[in-house]
Amino acid sequence: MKLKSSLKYSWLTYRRDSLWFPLAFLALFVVIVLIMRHPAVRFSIARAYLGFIVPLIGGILAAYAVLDDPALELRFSTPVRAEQTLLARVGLILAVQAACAFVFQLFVGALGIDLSPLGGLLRVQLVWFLPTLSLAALGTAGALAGAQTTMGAFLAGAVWLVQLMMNSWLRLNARSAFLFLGVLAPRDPGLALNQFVLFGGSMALLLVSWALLRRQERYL
Amino acid sequence: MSAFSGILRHEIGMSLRRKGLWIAYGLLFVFHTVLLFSPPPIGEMIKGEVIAKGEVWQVAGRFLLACNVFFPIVAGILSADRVRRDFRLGVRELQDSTPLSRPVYVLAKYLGALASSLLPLFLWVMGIAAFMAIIGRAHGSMLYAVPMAFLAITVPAFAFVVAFSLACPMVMPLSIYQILFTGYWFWANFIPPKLFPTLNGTLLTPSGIFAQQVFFGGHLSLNGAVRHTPADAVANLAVLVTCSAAALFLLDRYLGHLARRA
Repeated sequence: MKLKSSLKYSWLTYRRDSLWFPLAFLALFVVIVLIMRHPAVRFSIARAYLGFIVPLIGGILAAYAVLDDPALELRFSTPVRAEQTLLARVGLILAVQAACAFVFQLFVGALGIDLSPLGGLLRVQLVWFLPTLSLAALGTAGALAGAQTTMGAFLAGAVWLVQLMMNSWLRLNARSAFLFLGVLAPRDPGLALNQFVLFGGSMALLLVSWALLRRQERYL
Repeated sequence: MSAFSGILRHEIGMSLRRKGLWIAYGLLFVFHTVLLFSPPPIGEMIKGEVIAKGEVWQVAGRFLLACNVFFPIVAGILSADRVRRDFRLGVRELQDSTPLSRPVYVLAKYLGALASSLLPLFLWVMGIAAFMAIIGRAHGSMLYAVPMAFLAITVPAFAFVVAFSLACPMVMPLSIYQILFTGYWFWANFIPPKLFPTLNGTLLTPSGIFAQQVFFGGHLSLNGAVRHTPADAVANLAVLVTCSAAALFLLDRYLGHLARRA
């Protein structure tokens, strides 16, 4: 009963745009893949959705996850711990992105689009998960550090665009910190280090977010 | 008129006092300054190279075109909450009860947001131009080529972006607009038309590539787009101005609709 009311409360207070918007984008890419007939183009679109679009959506939505809450002050007055809030809010966004990525992979698999150039099943998951986690952590930390959701959204958006625009330079000069190495160069020998750095960096940013979220007076 | 200048001044002052604006611009200023003044492979400063008088316009055009890659993203994301926050904080309701007309409000808000987005960038590009002239890296004419390029390349792009950033978040959540806008900027300006259907290369391209190629002798095009004619450049500017005006007109209508419903 208690669990049911808790779930009901979560559903009622949940920001619906972080659910419908990723689903809308998923639907859009499903339609685009269906329209495009050439296998190479279909693969490029599937790769773009998993490797670029899912991380961008996750990053910017995460910037709004904690602070964009009309009941923030009320929430801070309850004994909910910072790590609990962070896990629930950012975790939910990551979960929705993960669901979209899995559904999309099932769909492209059903169409016979081969994602194996990106690696095995686990590697394909890392292709979208690590950039999404990194941008979500950056968006959250940016929003909390600036005490403004816009700041986090800007950081996530700008890093995404800078990394895409300068991908050749980053692949040559800063491959460990390159968000899209897994999707653009899946056979790069530095991929394991890159994945380690992205994961470690994300954890560090989430730790910073946790420390910032504990200072509740900054957001009131 | 006093209402217009009051809102304009207030909007500029308020926007310029935002910590986020200076942090975002600051990060990009550092990034571009490092690229400009570092030797290859990081930057493009070749030791002993001086930008001659004949190359100044071309370099100014290229410089401002490069600025149009990332700075409009900041302007778009930061301007997106300028009208919405007036609703959130109840200011709009107060303003509705005053003799302030809606078009004056929209225009003042727009020009204020635009000016506050352009001012830090203008000061920085002029600082860079002055510094290059002082250290002898560029001919003195750089000091008037840069503001001209700013006017032709940067201002239309920002005017377009800010108009849509004020209007669109009124009909969709802010976070959704910011995602769509970031994706749009990359898709409409930098994806080659051969690779994927895009607005890049059409008259709706706001990156400034038309003005750069035509007015500033740009030989290089972004992602292989074709070289444009003066008529194309003028038409591009006209289309951007028309789209911006249409976005503001629709914003005005929508605010009227909201006021009637209240």
